Amino acid sequence: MTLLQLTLKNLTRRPIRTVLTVMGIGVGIGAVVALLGLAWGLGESWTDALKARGTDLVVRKASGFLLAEPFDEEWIKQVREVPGVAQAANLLTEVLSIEEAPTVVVSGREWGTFVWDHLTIVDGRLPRSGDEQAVVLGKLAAEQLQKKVGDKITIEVADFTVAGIAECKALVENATVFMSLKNLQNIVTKEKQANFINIRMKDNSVPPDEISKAIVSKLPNCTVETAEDLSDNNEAVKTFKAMNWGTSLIALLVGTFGVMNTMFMSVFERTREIGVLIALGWKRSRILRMIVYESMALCAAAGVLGVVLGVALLKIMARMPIMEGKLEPHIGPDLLGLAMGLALGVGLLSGLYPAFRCTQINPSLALRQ
Amino acid sequence: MTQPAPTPGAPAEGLPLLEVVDVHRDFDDGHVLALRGVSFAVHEGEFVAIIGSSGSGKSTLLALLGALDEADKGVIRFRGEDITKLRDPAGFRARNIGFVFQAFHLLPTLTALENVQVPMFEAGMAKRDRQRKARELLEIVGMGHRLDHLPAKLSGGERQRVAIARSLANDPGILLADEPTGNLDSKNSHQIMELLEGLHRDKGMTLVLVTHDMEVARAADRVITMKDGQIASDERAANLTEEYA
Repeated sequence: MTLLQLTLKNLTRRPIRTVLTVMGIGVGIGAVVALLGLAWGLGESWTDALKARGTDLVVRKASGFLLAEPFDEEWIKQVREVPGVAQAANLLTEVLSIEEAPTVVVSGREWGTFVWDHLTIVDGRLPRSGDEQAVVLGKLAAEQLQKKVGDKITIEVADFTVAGIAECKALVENATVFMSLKNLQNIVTKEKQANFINIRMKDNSVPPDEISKAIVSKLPNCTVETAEDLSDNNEAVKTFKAMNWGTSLIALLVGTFGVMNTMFMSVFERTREIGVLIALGWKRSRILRMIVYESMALCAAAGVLGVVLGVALLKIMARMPIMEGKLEPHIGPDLLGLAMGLALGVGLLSGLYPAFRCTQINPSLALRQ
Repeated sequence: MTQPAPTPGAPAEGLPLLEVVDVHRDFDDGHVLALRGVSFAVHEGEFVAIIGSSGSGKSTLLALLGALDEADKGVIRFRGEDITKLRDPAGFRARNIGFVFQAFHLLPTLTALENVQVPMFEAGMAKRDRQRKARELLEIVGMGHRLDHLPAKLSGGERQRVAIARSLANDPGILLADEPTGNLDSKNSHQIMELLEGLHRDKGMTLVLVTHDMEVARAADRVITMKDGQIASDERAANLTEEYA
């Protein structure tokens, strides 16, 4: 028999209480996995979309909170003059309600620039010009809007023809409606405005930092970010992540108190037994370890349950119409490892105080109980 | 009532294994005087019974002898070392003391074999050695056929046998038994006392046994009678008068 075996035997003493505690904290860990999986997935979806279109750097207005603020499309002229910039394209990205779909990402892209190149047309064609009243639908957007090539689609107050269906590497783009920048500017009445400039760098001869500095010196109101930075620094992504972390921490705090309560009850019931162990010569440090191990074993089981629940929840949410195609949840070893780490952390935290109280038991009094 | 001189009925030669000098212990801020100037000594290989009525202080005394509690005044020496001011009382107990309790105090989730191994954790023994020794001890107390039984599946007498095996786990210098037959019927009491006497007789185990039963006490070499927190008498068991019979 080892200390760990003794610990596990103690947990089987009250199986219903053990199972209920594991379920309670397991649901909490599951919520953490689901919320963080969504938050991380949101950031990654943005990064993937930028990388898929070959964008190295993104220029946007420094102000603006949840959505990027529009700026004068003429800014791009100064960007194109910066050494190291191979190509630059104006984009106007909006989230609109289209027919029966409540939220669809609509991307207006400067006609003839590199940001159109990566769209793989699986049916139909690209618009013939920036003036044509035509759109290209990402594959998932076509499914959501139930449109095919040749159909009419009403966006805001204008009618467009579906010219083609595109398959994109990034999930976010698969659920996007593409049109020329000019068309989108017209229908959302933001003429001559864009909210992003995508930059493709020439080569590595000019480092991205220098390009960024050069652009900011010309356009002090803007900020320049890499694809990764953009999602990390995006206020919407940051807010979403902060909210999800906040909710996760509340779930963990509730779980910690739950496990602590269970451990206190368990220790209280075993006061005499713990007194016996002390009488038999067990050092208080060993008693402390035994109780902390019990608490951590409970939470390890809860961690496994939580990971299973969380992953299942993420898979279900990813298939929900409101999220399908827009957000691919992040399910990776880093998230699952973090969840297990948090579970064990909860176990350690919630076991320490009851364990410390155990070490203060007077064996002489405990044996008389 | 005068206190008897230390060790009146015991062999006088050599350093005592256990020496108690003018020990006091009170509870409830001095309202309950459990021990009032108790002094005696126990020599290696002795079997001493402490007898007295409920509240006489015998269990408090046993707790102090086992370093489970601290005296308010006085000195208790084990092999010459003052155990009233130990920095590591648990370590002292693990190395030197074997406890046998009235209520057995076996851990309910562990088998007999596992229960006997519990004190061995502090002896730094390997898992295999712990198992081997626990098996041997259970054979000695006649429980070799109940190794994998949980305490709930054992009779009272069998539980106490397992508890005695557990008390021997770390080869203690002394066994302290608190009413070891208190929860047993007469047949099982007799068997447990035979076992304890055998350990004393055959292995030279030093025994201090607390009881309120004079029949049990008569098995000892020496009987100390406690009354109101003091030693009322300390004499050889063979010299006990008929009034105790």
